[in-house]
Amino acid sequence: MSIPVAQVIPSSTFSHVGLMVSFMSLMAILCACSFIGVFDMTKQWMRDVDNTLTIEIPAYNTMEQSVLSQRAIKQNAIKIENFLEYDPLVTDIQIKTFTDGESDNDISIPEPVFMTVTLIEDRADQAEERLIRNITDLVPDVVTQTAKDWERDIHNIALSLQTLFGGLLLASFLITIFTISTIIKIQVKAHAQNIELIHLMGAPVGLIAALFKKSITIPVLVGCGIALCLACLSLYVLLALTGLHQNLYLCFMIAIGIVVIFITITRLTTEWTVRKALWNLP
Amino acid sequence: MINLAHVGLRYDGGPEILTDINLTLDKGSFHYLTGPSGSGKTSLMKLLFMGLLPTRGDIDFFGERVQNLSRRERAKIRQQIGVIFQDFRLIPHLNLFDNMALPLRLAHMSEHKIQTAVHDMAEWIGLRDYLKSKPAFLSGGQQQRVAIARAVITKPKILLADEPTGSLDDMMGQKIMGLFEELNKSGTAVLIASHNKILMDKFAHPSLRLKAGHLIS
Ligand SMILES: Nc1ncnc2c1ncn2[C@@H]1O[C@H](COP(=O)(O)OP(=O)(O)OP(=O)(O)O)[C@@H](O)[C@H]1O
Ligand SMILES: [Mg+2]
Repeated sequence: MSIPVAQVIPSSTFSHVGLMVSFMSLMAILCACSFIGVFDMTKQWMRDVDNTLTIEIPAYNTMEQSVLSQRAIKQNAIKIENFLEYDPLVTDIQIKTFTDGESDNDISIPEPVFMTVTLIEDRADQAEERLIRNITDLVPDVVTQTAKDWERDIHNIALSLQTLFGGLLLASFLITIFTISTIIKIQVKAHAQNIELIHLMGAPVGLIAALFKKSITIPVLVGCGIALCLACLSLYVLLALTGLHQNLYLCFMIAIGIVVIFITITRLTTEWTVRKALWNLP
Repeated sequence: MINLAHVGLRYDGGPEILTDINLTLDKGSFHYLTGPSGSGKTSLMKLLFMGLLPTRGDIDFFGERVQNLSRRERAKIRQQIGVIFQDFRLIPHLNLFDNMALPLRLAHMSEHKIQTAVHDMAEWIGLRDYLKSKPAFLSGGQQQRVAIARAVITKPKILLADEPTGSLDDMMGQKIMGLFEELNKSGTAVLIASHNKILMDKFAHPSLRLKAGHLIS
């Protein structure tokens, strides 16, 4: 383009836009990374929740059923899924007692059986759900006690956090679009005479929009650059401190992506606003 | 090049300023446009450089109805029309050089050629030493000379001049009229709105008169 930007709008016009976009993109990057971070935080919290559950097999009419169900847990559920650590002493003795019938006292009164199992796999990976599903298939009225309530609380907190971060991320985009389109409208009005003049001299609307885009892109690039540096630095420190640094690379990628989105948003909003504002020129 | 047929113009909702205007500007034509103040000379000029669209009738540019022209085509045609505005319309924050270079830049001329063209032009209108000044630091006559230079620097196919000598002394006025005639000889269609009887007598050309919105030859 052979026309210097200053031909239509003084070049200092958009320097404050750079500052605004810088703030907004910094906020957006941190929000997006926090959004991702919440997944890891929840996993961490879930890991801290007691990784055991108790299983109660109700008393049955016949001993055989009780024995079968216990065996089922031990042999099938446990064996198939291979994520149960059980107390072999207790259960084995009980099972032996029922099946071998060595002790008359024990056989006479069928009792409910309690087992405490420790999940080998991570609770966060739905190991518990899978186990309970398997047992229920074999013993429909099995009673389990788990740390599910805690889990629900953690999920609720995670969900609220993610809603918050997602909302802020969306807000930062919307605020940027709104601010830029307002500023462009004002600038088009403020320079209406010069714009009309170069339009009458044969400058197509696309060229005028390009002039605006060019003059707004430079401060926005600077602003985004600063935001990117600040974001990377703070992410590095924060993630390293909290031990969540496995996502550092992903977060850097997100930061770059968001900066690119902001620059694109700026240019598209500018182009669109200028074209709309000049729509009525003959 | 430009043809007006039964053209009428009214500013939004107001009375009709121009009524049933029929006019043709051909290659190499030279006309004066006269009429009392407020008769619509500037308004007619606006129709001729597509600053306004007619509210009635047809205007053709190079054989195409103005309403049928795309925005891009209109821009192309506007680049071939030089306009000297009654109120000069220089861009205040640009120096004289950039003001004069504007139409050349819109035409994508190389910066090297622009340098030569603008310096020659500035020399000719006697403002070579002012190229770095902003328009506000110039007298009315000097600003008018810049406005003229900007309009003719591209050697347009059509030149529309609204009171181009209003702020100039006789010497400069004649020099400028000479320039217009020179351009006209090379094919430019010239239309000058003017009150200056002395100059119009000295440089005799057919005259169009606007009276109560009508055009009388
Ligand atoms: N933008 C506008 N909106 C409404 N009315 C206008 C506008 N511009 C001009 N007019 C009206 O149109 C009429 C013609 O104005 P115009 O400027 O064309 O006259 P003119 O012949 O150029 O006058 P002058 O010799 O003083 O320059 C006037 O009555 C004026 O009030
Ligand atoms: Mg006028």
